[in-house]
Amino acid sequence: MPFPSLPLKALLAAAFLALATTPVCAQQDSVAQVLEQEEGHQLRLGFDILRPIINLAQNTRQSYEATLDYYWRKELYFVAEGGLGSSRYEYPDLSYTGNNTFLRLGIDKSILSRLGPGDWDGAFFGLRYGMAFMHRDEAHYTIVDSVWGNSSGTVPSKTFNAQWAELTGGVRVELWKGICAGWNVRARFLLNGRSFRDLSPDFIAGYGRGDKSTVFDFNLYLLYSIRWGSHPIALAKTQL
Amino acid sequence: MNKLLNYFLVAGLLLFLACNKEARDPCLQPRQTLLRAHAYQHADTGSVLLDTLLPAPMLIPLSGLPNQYYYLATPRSSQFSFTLSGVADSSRWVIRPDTASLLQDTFTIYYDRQLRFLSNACGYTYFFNLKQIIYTRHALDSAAIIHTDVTTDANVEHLDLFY
Repeated sequence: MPFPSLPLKALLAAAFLALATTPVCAQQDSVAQVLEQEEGHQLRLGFDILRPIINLAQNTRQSYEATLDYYWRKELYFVAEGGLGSSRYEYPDLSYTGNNTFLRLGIDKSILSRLGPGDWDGAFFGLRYGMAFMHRDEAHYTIVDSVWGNSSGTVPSKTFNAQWAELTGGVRVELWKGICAGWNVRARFLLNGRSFRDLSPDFIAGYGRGDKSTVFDFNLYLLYSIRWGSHPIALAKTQL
Repeated sequence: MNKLLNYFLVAGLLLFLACNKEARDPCLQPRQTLLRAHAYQHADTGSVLLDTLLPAPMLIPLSGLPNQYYYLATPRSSQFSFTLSGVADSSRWVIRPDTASLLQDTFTIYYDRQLRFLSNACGYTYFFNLKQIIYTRHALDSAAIIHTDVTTDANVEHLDLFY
């Protein structure tokens, strides 16, 4: 059953509003007030270390992903994720190759309160808006007919884009002095599936199966954090 | 807490690897577009159409591959289906209502072809838009195109043959 587009958009809009306006729990108010002065800044860059392993295991699909997040305030992160990939669909009756880059923008909201200004571990959930810019090379097809004879032809190459909404959740843990690890699970909902009717791409890096309107994905990240601003204020608080 | 998160991580990883298969999906929809014909006869009175059960119908494609295929429809049947050529804009068939008889007709169907993408699993096929039918009248009285669009829809009849 195709995912209804308008209710989905409404649901995502409602979820986004709820996420952006979620108040910090009353019991955390005192901690939050302190942290508001001390939480500082963090920029975290990571790479999906699972993709190269999957690339080795697969002959026809390749993709690479990176993530960048910035801690804003009140357990809210701005996130930008990007990458690239390619695929090769090769069967006797249909063959084509394609490649794409992608960008996902969104926010993450931590669901575990921090124990202190130096604590950047946590679990979160978030929303993304994703877009992929794709190019499919000329496709070759053969229609098998044992009565009249096979017919073959080509479908011209095409450039198009994919757009999707995404719900995600995951964990980030600091392993050692700014080096972190973490994972994300993702549910993606294609918003412009109709544009793929003439030949849906088998694989869209950053999204997944191009002929599915809903896909699930998993990322395993290794990240590096750059932090500033929190330490001096924390010291000042301690001295006070 | 960490132990619980690790379980989630392993479960997510296994689920992802299980779902991230590379193999091609099976094709679960009809790939071939068939033209469906129905044989009728006029009732002796009025305008009622009655099924004509052809004793042992046989269909022979002309201008096809060198090793001609013979379509032997089910004996005593009034409905049968056959293919149209995807390499030409017309197809010619010989229809013999009874293999025991030499009485036969030739009909030629003219059409437009439309290349149609089904799915990555099924590839492409042709849909047809019927334009005209020309036929001989040895055993056949007349023939009429009743639905012009020939697709993978198995519930539509396209051609009426009157005996």
